[in-house]
Amino acid sequence: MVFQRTNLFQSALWLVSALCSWLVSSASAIAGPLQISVVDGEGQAVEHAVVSVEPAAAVKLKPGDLRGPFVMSQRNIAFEPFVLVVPKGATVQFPNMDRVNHHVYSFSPTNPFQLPLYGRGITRSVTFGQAGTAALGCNIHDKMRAYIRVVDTPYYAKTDRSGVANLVTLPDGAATLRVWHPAMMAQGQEMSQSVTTNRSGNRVVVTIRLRPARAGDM
Amino acid sequence: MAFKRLKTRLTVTYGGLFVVVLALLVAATCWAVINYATLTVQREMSATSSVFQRIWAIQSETQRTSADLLSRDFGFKTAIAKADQATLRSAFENLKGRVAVDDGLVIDLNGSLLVGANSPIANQVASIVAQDYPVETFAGIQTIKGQAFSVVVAPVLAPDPIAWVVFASALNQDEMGKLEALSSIPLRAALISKRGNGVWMNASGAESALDPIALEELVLDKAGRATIEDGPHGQQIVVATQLPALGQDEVTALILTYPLALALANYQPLVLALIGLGIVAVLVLGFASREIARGITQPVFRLKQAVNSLQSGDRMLVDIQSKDELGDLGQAFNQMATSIREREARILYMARHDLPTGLPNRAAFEEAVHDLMQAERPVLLVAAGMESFDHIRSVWGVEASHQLIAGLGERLRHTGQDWHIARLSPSVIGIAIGLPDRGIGHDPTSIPLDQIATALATAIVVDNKSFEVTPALGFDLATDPSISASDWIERSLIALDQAQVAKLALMRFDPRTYDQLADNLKLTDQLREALDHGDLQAFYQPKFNYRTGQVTSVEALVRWQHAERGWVSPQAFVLIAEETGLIRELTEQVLRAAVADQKRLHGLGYDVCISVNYSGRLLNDPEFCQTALALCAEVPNRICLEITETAVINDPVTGVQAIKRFVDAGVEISIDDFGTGLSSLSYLKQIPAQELKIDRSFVVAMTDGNRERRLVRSIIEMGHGLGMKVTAEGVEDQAAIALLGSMGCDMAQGYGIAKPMPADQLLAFLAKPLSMDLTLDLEKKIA
Ligand SMILES: [Cu+2]
Repeated sequence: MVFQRTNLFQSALWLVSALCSWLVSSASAIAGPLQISVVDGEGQAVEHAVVSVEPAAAVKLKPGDLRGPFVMSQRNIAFEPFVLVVPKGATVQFPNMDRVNHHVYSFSPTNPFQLPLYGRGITRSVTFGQAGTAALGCNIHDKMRAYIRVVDTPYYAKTDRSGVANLVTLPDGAATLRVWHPAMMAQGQEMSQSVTTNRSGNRVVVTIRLRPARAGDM
Repeated sequence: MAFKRLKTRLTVTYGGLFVVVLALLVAATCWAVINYATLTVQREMSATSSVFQRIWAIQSETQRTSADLLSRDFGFKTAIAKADQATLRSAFENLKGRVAVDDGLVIDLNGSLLVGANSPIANQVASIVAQDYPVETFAGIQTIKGQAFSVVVAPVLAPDPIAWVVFASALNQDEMGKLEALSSIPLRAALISKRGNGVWMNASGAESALDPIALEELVLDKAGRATIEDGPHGQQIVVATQLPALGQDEVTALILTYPLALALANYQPLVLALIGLGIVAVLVLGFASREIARGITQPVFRLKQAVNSLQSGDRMLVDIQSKDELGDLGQAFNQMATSIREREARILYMARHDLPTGLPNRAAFEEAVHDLMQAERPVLLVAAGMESFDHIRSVWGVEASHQLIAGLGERLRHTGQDWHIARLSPSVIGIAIGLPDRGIGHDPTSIPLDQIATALATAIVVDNKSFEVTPALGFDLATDPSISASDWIERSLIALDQAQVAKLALMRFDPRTYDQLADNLKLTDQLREALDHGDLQAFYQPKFNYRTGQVTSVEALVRWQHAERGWVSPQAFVLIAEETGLIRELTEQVLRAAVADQKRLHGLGYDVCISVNYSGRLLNDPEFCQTALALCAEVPNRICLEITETAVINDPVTGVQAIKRFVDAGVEISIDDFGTGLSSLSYLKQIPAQELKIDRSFVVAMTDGNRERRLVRSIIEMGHGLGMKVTAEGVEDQAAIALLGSMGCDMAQGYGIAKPMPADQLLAFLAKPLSMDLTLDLEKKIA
C-alpha cells in the first residue's frame, strides 16, 4: 500500500535530503512512516530500487502478506514489470500476453526455475520460497530481462521514477534497511544499514553506486 | 663588394646569383623529393596499417562470432549456472576446435577460471574481465609476457553476465611477417605496448628503441601521420596505429617502419642528376656570364680607347658590330667623333682662311712662308694691291669685291702651280714663291713678277661685268731666315705702300724709304705737339695786283720751326696733317692767325685780303665749316679761302653747298693749284669762285716755249670767261711778271714778288712803295 504524503513534503524532499543523509548513516531513530529516497553517485534519482526493512525482532510473514497477486507478465517481448518485489513464499504469475512463445528461466542460485515454451494466454506460476533475487531471462529472446526480488519481511517497497519509496506501517524499534538494485555495484547488488523506526516517521536518503546502464534497462 | 673591372663584377654577380638560385632550387627539390618519398611511404604504410586492422578485424570477428555462439548457447548457460564442469568444458572444447584459436577461457563472475586455468593468458585476462564486468562482446589486443594476443571476450548472459567466454590468438612475428608481405614495399611491422605510464615495450619484451615521446605523439595521432625518427639503422619513416586494447590501462600500437635511405633510394638518381645538372649549369653559366660580360665590356673598353684617341687628337672610330644599345652607342660615338673632326676642320679652316674668298689668310700665309724658308732657298714675297679696290667696293658692293679678289687669287694659283696665295687685307693679295737657289746669273724675280702683274692686270669677269684692276706690287726677296716670316711679309706690304705712294707699279722694299715712313710717324706726334703749343706760324706771301700795281692780297702759309728739325717742309707736314685729321686744328689755327692779323692790318689802314688754304676734306665737315664761317665773319670780306679744284670731286653736292654758304657770307673762294687736278670743267663750272690760281708748274714751264705760254694764256682767258680773277703762282722773275701782265693775268704771286714773310715783315713790306717793271723783254726772255 502506498501512503501519499502532501505535495509540499514531496517537493521539499530534494532540499532536505542532503542534510539528512548524515543522520541516516549514524543510524538515528526514525518515525514509523519511512520515506526512502535512492540516488546514484551523481545525485540522480534511482528507479527500480527495492527497499525493505527487517525489524530486529523477527517478524513472521503472515498468510495475508502472501496473498498477492504477484504478476510478472510478458508483453511486447518484454517482462513487465522490470523489477517485482515479493515476500518469501509468494507465488508469482507469469502470463504470456504475446502471440509468440516465451521460455522464461532463472539461473539465480536462490530461485532457479524454467518455464519452457508456453504460448499466448497461458499463465504459469512459480513460488519463490527463498529470499534473494531471481534474474529472469527468456531463452528465445535474449533482450528480455527482469528481476524478482524475494524479501523475508512484509515491509518492502520499490522506488518510483523520482527514486522514492514509502513504508507506511512499520513497527517501532531497531531494524535493518536493505536496498537492492539490479545494477548496483555490490555483492548481491544490495546494501543494508541499521535504522530505528518510530511513530513520528522519518526520511532516509540512500546513495548507491550503479553499473553503466545496459540495453534492456527500464 | 667593389670590383675594379666591370667584367668581373658582372661575372661574379650573375654567376653568384645563379649559384644561389640553383642551390635553393636543388635544396627545394631535395626537400620535395624527401617529402614526396616520405609521403609515398606513409601512404603505403597507412594502407598497410589499414590492411592490418582489417585482417585483425576479420580474425577477431570470427572469434567473436564463435564466442557469441557459445555464450548464447542455453545448454552452455545452464551448465555454467549449474556449475556443471564436465558439460561446460566439453561444450567449450567442441566449439574451440571449430574456431581454431590458440587459447580459450571461461571466466566466472568472481574472475575464477572455469576453463583454461592453465593458459598463459588466463590470469591477466580474468582479472581484466572480472573488473570490467563487460556485458557485450568485445575484442582487443593484449600483450602478455611480451606476446601479443588478439583477444575476444563474450559475456554469458542469463540475462545478467554469469560468466565470460574468452578466445585468444597469438600475434607473433609470423603474423607480422605475413603483414609485411602484404605491403608493396619492404616495410617492417611490429607491435608495441605500454601499460599505465610505463615504457613502450616491443613484442620481444624489450624496451622500444624509438623515442618514447615521439611514439606517444605518433600513437595518439588519429591522422596516422608519418615522422622521421632515428632508429638503430639510421633514419626511418615511422607510422603508428593505435589498436583496441583489451584492458583500459594498456595501449597497443602497430608500428610500421621503413628506412628513409631505402625510401630515397629510388630518388637518388634524380637527386644526383639534379646536382650534376646544377654543377654543369653553374659551369655553363659561369662561362656564359663571362662571355656576356666580355661582350659588354669589350665594346666599352674599345669605346674608352677611342675616347682616349680622340682626346689625343688621333682619328679613331670604334667598330662595334652588335645591334644592341652598345652598337648604338658606338655609332653615336663615331658620329660624335666625326662631327667633332668636321667642326675642328671647319674651325681650323676658318682660322686659316679668308672666308669670303676662300683664300688662305695671313696666318696661313705666314706658315707657308715659314715652311718655304725652312728649305733654305730665297723666297719671293709679293704684296699685290688693287688700286681701284675701294672704288669697286663702293660702287659694286662688297660681294663683288670679294669675288674679284677670289677670282684673282684663282688666276694666280693657275699661273704658278707651286705659289702660295693668300689674302692679306681686303685689297691685298700675298704671293710667296720659292725660288731656285741663288747663284743664277739673271734676276730670278723678274719672271714671276711679270707673270703676277700680267695675271692681275688682265680683265676679270665678275657678275657678268668685266673689271680691270690696276695692281701695284710690293715685293722683297726673303733670304735671311733669322728674320721671321711675319716680318718678311710686312716688308712686302711696306714695299706695296711705298709703290702706291710713289705711284709705281712695282717696287722692292726700300729700307731707306721705310725709315722715312717711320720718321713720318714721329713727325705726326711732333706736329700734334706743335699744334698743342701753338708753335706753328702764319707767313704771308704778297700777291701783286696788275690793275692797281699794288699788293692788294696775301696768301697765308703755315710755317713750322721745330727745335730739332729746324724749318719743317710744309709739303711734308701738311700732307701728314691731311692724313691724320690734324688738318682741322692746323687750318683753324692758321685761320685764327689770319683773322687776327687781318684785324691788325685793317687797324693800320691796309686794305689787304688774306687767303687761307682750306682743305677739300674740311668742306665736307659741316661743323668745321661753321667754325670757319664764324671766324671769317669777324673780318667781313677780307678773308679768302683757297680750295683745290679736286676738293669737291669726292662729294660734289656737299662741297658745292659749303662753298655757296661761304660765298653768301661774303667769303671769297679761290680755286688753288688749278691744272693739276685733271678735273672736268663741269665741276669747275659749279664752283662759285671769284679767283682761279694757275698752278706754279704751268707758270714755271712758260719759259719752255710758246705752247706752254699759250696754255697759260688759255687758262687766263678761261678764268676770265668763267668770271674769275686769275692769279699766277710761282712767279719767280721780272720777265714772268711782265709776260703774265701782258697775258691779262690779274695777279701774280711768287718769289719774283716776295717770299712768304711773318706778319711783322709784311707790315714793313706793305709800308714801302712797290715798283714793278712790267716791260716785256722778249729777247731776254728767249735767251
Ligand atoms: Cu521469450
